[in-house]
Amino acid sequence: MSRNLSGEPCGEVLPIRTILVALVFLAGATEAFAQRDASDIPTVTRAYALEGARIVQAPGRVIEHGTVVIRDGLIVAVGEDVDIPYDAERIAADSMTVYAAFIDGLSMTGVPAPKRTNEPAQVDDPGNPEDDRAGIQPQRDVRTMLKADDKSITALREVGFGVAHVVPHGRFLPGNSAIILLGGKSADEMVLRGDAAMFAQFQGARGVYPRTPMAMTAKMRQLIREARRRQVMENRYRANPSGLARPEYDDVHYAFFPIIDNTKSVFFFVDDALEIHRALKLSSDLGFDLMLAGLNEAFDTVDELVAADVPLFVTLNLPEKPKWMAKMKRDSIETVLASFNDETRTATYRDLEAEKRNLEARQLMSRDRYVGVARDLNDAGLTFGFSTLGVKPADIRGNIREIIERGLSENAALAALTTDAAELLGLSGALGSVDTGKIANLIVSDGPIFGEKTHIRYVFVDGHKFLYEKKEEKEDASEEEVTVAGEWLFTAFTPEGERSGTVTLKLEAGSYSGTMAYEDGTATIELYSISFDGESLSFSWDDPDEGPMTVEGVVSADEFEGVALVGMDEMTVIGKRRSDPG
Amino acid sequence: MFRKTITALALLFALSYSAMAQETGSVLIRNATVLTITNGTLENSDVLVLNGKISRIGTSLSAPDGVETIDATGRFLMPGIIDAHSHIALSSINESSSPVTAEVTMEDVVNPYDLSIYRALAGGVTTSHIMHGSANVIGGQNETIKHRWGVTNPDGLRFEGAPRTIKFALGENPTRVHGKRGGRSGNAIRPVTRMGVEAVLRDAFSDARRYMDAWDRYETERTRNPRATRPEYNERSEVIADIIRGQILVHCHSYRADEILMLMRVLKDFGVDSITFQHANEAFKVAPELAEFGAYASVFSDWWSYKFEVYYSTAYNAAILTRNGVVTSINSDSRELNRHLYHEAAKSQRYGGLTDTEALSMITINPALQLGINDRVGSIEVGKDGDLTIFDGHPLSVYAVPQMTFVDGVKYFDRDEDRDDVRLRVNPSSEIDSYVEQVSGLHSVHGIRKIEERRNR
Repeated sequence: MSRNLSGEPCGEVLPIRTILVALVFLAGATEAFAQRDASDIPTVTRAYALEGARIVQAPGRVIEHGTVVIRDGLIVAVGEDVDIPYDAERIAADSMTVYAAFIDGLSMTGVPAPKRTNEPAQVDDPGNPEDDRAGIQPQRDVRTMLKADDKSITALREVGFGVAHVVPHGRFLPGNSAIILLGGKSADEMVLRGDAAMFAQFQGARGVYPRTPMAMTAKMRQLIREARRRQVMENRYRANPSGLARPEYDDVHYAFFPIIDNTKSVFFFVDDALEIHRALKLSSDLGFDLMLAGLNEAFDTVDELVAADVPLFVTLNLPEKPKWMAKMKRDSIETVLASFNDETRTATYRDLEAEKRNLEARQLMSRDRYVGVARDLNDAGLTFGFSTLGVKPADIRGNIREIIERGLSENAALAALTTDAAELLGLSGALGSVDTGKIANLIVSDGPIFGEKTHIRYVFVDGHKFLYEKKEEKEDASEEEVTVAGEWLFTAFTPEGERSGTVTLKLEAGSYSGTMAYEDGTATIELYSISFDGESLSFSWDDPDEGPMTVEGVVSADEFEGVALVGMDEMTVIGKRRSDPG
Repeated sequence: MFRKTITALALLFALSYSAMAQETGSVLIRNATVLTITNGTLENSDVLVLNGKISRIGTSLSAPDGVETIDATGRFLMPGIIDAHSHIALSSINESSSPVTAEVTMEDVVNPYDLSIYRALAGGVTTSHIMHGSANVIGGQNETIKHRWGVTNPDGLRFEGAPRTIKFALGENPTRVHGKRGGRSGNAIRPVTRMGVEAVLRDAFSDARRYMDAWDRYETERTRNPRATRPEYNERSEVIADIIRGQILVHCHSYRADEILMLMRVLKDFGVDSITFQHANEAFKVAPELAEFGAYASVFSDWWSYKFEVYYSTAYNAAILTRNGVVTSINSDSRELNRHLYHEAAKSQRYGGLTDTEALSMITINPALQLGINDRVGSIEVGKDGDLTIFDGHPLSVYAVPQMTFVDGVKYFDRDEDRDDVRLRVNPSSEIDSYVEQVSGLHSVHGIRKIEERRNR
């Protein structure tokens, strides 16, 4: 994996060129820069002056030629004509533009993924598992899970983000979120605000209650209604314990007290339109404050979102293009769209080509609806931020450009990344614009921030400078061909328990073939429709009992995680490669 | 140019669907053979639907201004078909982690994007009872929906005012799912046997009774002592208590005569009198007992032998039940079979010699009764909902094909306007040639994959 940009924190006042030369020597010719920790070198000054820059203080509020002065982590002066302190590091920024650094509304940045276990622990009664096993962990705090040197922090900062609202990994209720600065020597130093919201997602427990969305919604009703009762008991006992049985403490229900009091919100990640409806309904039925992120199918729920009036953070993850779409040239797309006929009632065998074109046209239009979510919300007068959860940082700026191409104005996009995000997270006093008194979170770019050819030259986080230089474009030879060939042990968590089988996948002349052998020796079956795009793997086979089955999921290295589709049921499937990729 | 084209087309699509959202319509259907179900067959008659309700039935009716008239000369008009057992339009079906999950409700997982809704309309079906699966002895609460294809808010499909119902299941499914869990690993839980199924039921009802008692005691004590300790809240017991209170209709997956009798004994002990036995392949053996209890049956026309406990049945099941005075419906339990329920009804006539009205009742007024919606749908009567379907022949003829289907007076299916691609949601990432992704509408797979991707990064 190679990147065009490489970032490093630079706290020193040595001329940049000197450092560059030194680093090039150190790192050798292949790497223009080496990573270095800011804590290695004592910082001489924490004052900087960005001179002669175009300053976009906030969307639509621009100083064409001015200076920004930063000291000790704060913006201390912004204007056309400001005094530059004698001890400031002066940065000639006359060809550059200064923006407030971006704010990420929801992600797991800085929170390392827990090591995945292939076999979730067996429980005696799957209908009544321990809370931790069931993914019911609303008492946890992401602050205890932060890692200051996690690579995800560097990666997100590199594309212009200074702050992220981060949540723990987990299943349905993974714990409480925090708002963090994307830089700092320790986890504590990064925390801007802890205990920000209670994170929730419709991610069922593996093999135990609550597995399905309907059980998760039922669990939420149970938890909140019982928490209400416990809170009454607790308050009564606190006021006067005499003659009362001592209330039974438990961390899960007690974690809901601020939710019941409406002093904290439930922050739901919603992945499709149905999840949006579910989260809105839970919130209105149970009376808790809601924030939503994800919203990739919000195009179908705009009216409901207008009525709900809750903070929204739209995913920057855009739908992957199917192979045919990725290959297609723009003028061919025009032809496909032009030939679209909504009224076709032609038998497939009579005109296969027409049917294919219609399917393609509908898929193009469909993709447009997903890319257009931010535009739709903006057109409906809603305020929103963005979420980077699940997006490769390297894709973020390209995705924002695509969203803008689909009709969101640049100002609206910038607002969603800065001022509006700050407002929705309750941080507009400290973040979101280039104004005196705010935290010095800045982007310095060599052109308009959404321009295709624009590079980010500096990112300031909490007044710390991170420098990015253009690296020589180099051949992308390091990218290794990923293959799923080999022998895999697949385990499905069926309602009847676990069922395993060995899947052998062979790669020949660019296409896969394979077999499935059940562990109980009942059958060895040929697989069909095997597809692998470097990440997503799916294949089907005909089970002698169940009929056609399809497994679909994601491969990372030698592990697979996904779902099996049997009729209308879905179950979790995991896999582990047992042999070398062959 | 590119952007303009794509936006204009997308807009066109959005408009054509959202315009239909949960509205009521008016229509005059003229000169049809009207199969009223509850009031005989009316030749050459007109039915006027105004704002979603049947307002007049007669001859030479005229349409008020602006109301569309449909000439149904030579055609047959019948009430929209009702499927008393279905799993369409759901994004999950079984919460199979526990033998009792009364607290879950299908209301939370209604999926209005499911193409099966449109296909059911094409088979003249206007209402489905979409149920929890049969993995658990007491499964979740079901949802009764109207097939308002095009609505994307799940609540828009709800049959407003339909009584609450719940799924029970006896026999091999719950004993297999829970009693054989984990093979021989020792992770099996009750019920392992049919005795266990009964015990699970009795325990659940007894727990709920204790729960009701605890709250009753609390309410009494509270009048004397404002600091009385409130009992623990339990969503599951709340729902089972509502069954005991008669507020929820029980629909029970069952096959064998012995287990049917068992459930009636259990319900009697707990004072529950509403019960519809679903599938009930051996119900004909205990038809007098069912009639005496006032139990209903909802059966397949001629489907059995697909597993051991359903080895023994007969295509005369529906007819025998009917002749014994048991209100019987014929259901699909299938996204394919629901498209020709009129054929299924006809089979009962072929085997049991039922009258036309008796046979058609089994897919109209009888399921309506079993779902507690017979005051709204199931027959063509003034004041009932404008849920209607037009056939080009008598619906019990194998040659008949549904032509148009109306819900609340709105036409949701018209064979002459049946487009190739009526999907409401198109997966933006699937390959065109992937049958599973394109046709099965398994969009949720995509959603899950996204989450998995996210977690892997």
